[in-house]
Amino acid sequence: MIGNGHWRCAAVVLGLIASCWFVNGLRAAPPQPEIRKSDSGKAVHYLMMFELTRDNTVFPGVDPDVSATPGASFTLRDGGQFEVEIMKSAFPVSAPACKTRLILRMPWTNSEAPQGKVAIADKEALFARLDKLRQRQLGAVPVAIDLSPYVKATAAPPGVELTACNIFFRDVGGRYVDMIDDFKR
Amino acid sequence: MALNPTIFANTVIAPVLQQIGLFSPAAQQLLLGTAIQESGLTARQQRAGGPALGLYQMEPNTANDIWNNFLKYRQPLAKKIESLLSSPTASKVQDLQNNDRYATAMARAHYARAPMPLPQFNDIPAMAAYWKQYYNTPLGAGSPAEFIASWNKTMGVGAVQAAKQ
Repeated sequence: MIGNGHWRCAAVVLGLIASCWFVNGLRAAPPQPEIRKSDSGKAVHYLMMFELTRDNTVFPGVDPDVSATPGASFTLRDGGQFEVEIMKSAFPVSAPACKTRLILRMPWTNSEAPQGKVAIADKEALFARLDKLRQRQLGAVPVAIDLSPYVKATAAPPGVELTACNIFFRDVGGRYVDMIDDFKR
Repeated sequence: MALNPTIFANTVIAPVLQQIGLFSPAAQQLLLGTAIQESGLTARQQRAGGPALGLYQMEPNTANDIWNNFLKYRQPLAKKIESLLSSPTASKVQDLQNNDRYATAMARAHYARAPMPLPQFNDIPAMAAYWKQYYNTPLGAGSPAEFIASWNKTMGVGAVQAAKQ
């Protein structure tokens, strides 16, 4: 037979377990992001800021302890292109088509375009900062992300859902724009 | 196993471009270079589970946009491209993946939307830049340097020089 004391003790233990589970749940869920809708006239863009950290970012082809996505590599390529990957579990926008990681790519800039070389230099500077993050010389790098074009609107918060595993650094006319406010060239 | 590029260019690309009325040597070369770069003339489903399909790795959304915002207003061309479907009721998505003649026509239609004229025949760097700007687009993972490397690897570095003589 179990006495009242035992019941009380069991209830306290269950309560503690539930509290831990609740707190862990809160900790695991990424906070809701501010997603700004921007219409360029040619396309609609869904923009958000996101803080890349060593815990939520994978440097494909460089990080030794993760399987590389085929073709993905954290290297600086022509036109200022490069890519990193974000752990799906740490990203606040749902991506049901993806398994574990999202590819965050810096779009290409034509070096022959007006101000092209300057824009590429800006992208290379961001690459250098991310390389410092990779080497743990920086703790976090906030970046502006464009969820378009692989995104669709949803009724549930945060109001959008990814339809593929690709997202992009915000690029306006070949230039990386480090904010989600309206930007005119 | 990869298709033979010369045979593909002469038995698929050229006849399709002639059939839809958009043939030129430069167009034939650009499409061959596109297929070589995009798929190595082998992959029909995008690696890593992406949405791109067929030898030209065109995404269904891109194809839909070509139909809805370009071919819709060019009915003679649209009818010619529709005639390349494997059957009148064929799925355009499945044909994009498995019907190389239809996929070739769609890739040509994609380039036909570009505001700039096609590059000169045999100017591979210009072809590479044109492919990057209008086909792969700045959002795509490829680069002009990769296009040129893929071309040289498949066709041989001396192929263009020989053709120019």
